Amino acid sequence: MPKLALSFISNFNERVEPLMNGTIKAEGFEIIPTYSHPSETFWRQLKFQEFEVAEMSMSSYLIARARGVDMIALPVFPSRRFFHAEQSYHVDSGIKEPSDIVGKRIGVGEYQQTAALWARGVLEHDFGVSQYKVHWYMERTDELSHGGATGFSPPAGISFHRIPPEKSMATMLVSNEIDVAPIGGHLSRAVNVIDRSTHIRGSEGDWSKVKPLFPDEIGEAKRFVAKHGFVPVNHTYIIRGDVHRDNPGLALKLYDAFVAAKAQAAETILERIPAALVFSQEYFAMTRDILGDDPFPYGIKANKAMLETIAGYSYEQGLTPRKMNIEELFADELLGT
Amino acid sequence: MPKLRLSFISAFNERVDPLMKGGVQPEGIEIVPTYSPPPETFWRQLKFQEFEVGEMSMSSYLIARERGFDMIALPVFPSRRLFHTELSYNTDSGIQKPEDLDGKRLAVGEYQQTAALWQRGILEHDFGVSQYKIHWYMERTEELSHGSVTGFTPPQGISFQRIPTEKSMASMLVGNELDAAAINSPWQNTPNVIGRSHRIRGADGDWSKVKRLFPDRMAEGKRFFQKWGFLPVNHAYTIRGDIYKKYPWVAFNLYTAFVKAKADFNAKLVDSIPSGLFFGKEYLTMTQEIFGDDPYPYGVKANRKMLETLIDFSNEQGLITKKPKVEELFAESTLGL
Repeated sequence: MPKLALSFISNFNERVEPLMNGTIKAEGFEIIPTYSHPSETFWRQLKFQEFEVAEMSMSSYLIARARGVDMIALPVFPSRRFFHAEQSYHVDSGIKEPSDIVGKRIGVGEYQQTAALWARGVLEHDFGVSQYKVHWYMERTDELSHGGATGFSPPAGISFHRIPPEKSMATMLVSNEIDVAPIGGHLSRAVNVIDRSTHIRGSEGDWSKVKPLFPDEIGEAKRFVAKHGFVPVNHTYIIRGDVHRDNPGLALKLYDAFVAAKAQAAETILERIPAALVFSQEYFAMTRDILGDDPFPYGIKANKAMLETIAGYSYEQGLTPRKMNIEELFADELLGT
Repeated sequence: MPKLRLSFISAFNERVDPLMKGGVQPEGIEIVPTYSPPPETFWRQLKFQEFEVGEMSMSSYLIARERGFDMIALPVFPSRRLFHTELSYNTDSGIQKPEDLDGKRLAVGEYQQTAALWQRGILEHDFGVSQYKIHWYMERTEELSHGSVTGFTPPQGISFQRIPTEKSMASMLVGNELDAAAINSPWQNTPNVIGRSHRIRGADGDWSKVKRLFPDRMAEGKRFFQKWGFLPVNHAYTIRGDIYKKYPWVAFNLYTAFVKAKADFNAKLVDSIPSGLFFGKEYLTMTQEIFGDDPYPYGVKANRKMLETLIDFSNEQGLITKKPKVEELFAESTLGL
C-alpha cells in the first residue's frame, strides 16, 4: 500500500531529528522534511498553510486558534528554554537586577512570540515588573511578522514602538537606544529572513557594555523550576485541519513517532555532547539534578501546569480574547495522554 | 586541477570531521576517508600500513618509531582525555582512594595503549602508586593487540597477566576478579574486533558496586591541569613513510588543514551542544575556566611539555629503551609550528 506522504516543516531539533531523517518511521506515512528557521516556518505556515505538519509557535497557535485558523496541535513539546533568563541589559541603563527594568525599554523580535510571552509573564509574576510599565520595541516589520499573519495589534494600554527598519534590537541595545533585549552578543543568532538582528548585527558596538540580566542562569533555572515545576515551552507541532480530518488515526501515529524520536535522542545524548566539554557525564548529571530525568515531557497530563500557565499569560497579556481551554487545543484522540 | 588522493583512517572526532567530510580541504590533496574505531585503526596501521594517513596511538607510535617503523607524525592532537580519572573500582576491593591501588589488580585494554601509559604515569607521579606494585591484567589477545605488532613483552619486574579469553575487563571488574579498570557500567564503546568488553559486557553483574576512583572528576581535572599544564593526548596522525618521502609537502598542507578543521568546529561548538543539556554555554564556560580557551592546542611548541612527559613515562615504564627527541617524531616542516 502506498504510504501517505506528509510535508513536514521544522527546525533542526535533536528530539525530532530521528523523525526528520527517517531513523524513526511510523506505520502508514512517510515524511517529506523541510528544515527551516522557526521565524520563517511560523510566518509561512500562518500565512500560507503550506505544510501538512508543521512546527508551530505556542503563542501564535493560541492566537490563531482563537481566531479560527484551521489546524490542530499534538501535545509534543521538544523545544524548551528559560526565555526570561536570556535577557541582557545595557550597563548605562542603570539596571542591576530584574526588578529594575520597570520603566525601561525592552526589545522583542515580535511582541506575540512565545519567548516574549514567557519573558513578560515571568517578569510580571515572579519579579513584579508589570508589562504596562515597560516600553516595548518590536523588531519585525508588519509584513514579515507572525502577527501580520494573525492580525496583531498592540494590546490596549501597552507602550508599543517599532524599531526603525534601518536599525535592529542588536544595534539599539549595544548603543543603549533600548535597555534590554534577548541578545547576548552580535553573533549570537543564526541568520534568517525575518529577524533583522541577524543581518544588522551591531558588530561595531561595544558589547562589553551588554550584560546578562541573570548572570547565574543555572541558579535562575533552579529557582524557576522549583516554583513552577516545568521548563517553558515555545513550540509545538500542528496538523493542518483538512489533513487531520481526512486521516483519522494520523494524530495518534504521529504522536507515537514523536515519542519514539524523543526516546532515541535521550539514548544518544551523552555521545552527542561534544568531547570538547571534557566533562560531558558530569554536566549531564548536573542538568538532570536540576530538571529531572525527562525535562521534555510530552502528553497533556505532564504538561497541564505549563499549558494552563501559557494560556493564562496569553489572555492576561491581551493576545487572546479569552483563556483558551487545553481540550480545544489538541487532537481529541490525544487528550488522554 | 589534479589532486593527490590520500587514503585517511580515523575515528569520528569533532575537530577532524570537517576534514573527513570535505568541508575543509587540504591544499593539493583529496582525502578518501575511512571511519574506524581506534583499536582497529592502530592494529591495521601498525600491522599492514594500509592507509597513507591515519590516526595513531601516541604510545604505540613512540614504540614503533624506536623499532624503525617508517612513518612520521603531524603535531596535531585532537583527542585528549583525563584517562586516570576514568578508573573505577569494585567496592569489595577495599579501595577508597587512588593510593589504595597499591597491591591491587588493575585491568587495561592493552598494556602499551596510551590511556594506560597516562594512568600508570600519573598514578606513580601524583599518587605514589608504583607500577611495579600493581598486578596488571590485559584484555586484548596477543593476535589482536597492537603490542604483538610492535613486539611487546611485559616490562621486566611487572606483574602481568592476561584476562582469560572467555572473560573481559567488564565481567572481571563487576565480579571483583579485578579491583579496578577504566569501566564504570556495562561497556558501551563502539563494537570493534579488537577488544572484548563490548561483547562480554558483564551486564548481569552488580554495577552498583563499581565506583569511580575520582568521584569528583572536575576537581581532579583541575588539579591535574594546574600541576601539569596540559590535557593528556592519546592520538596523533601519521603519514606513511613512502608518501612522506615522495611528497614531503603533504605534511605542512595536512597540518594547516587540521588547524582549519579545528577552527571550523570551534566556531560551531556552542551550537553543537545538545539542547537537551540546557546549560551548554554555561558548561562550556566552566570547562574553559579550568582548561583555558583552547584545551586542544596543536603544534610542537604548545605541546612540548606534554610530549616530553609522554616520552618520560614511556621510557620509565620500559616501553621504549631510549628517549627520542621531540624533533625526531614530527615532520620537519611542522617543527616550528
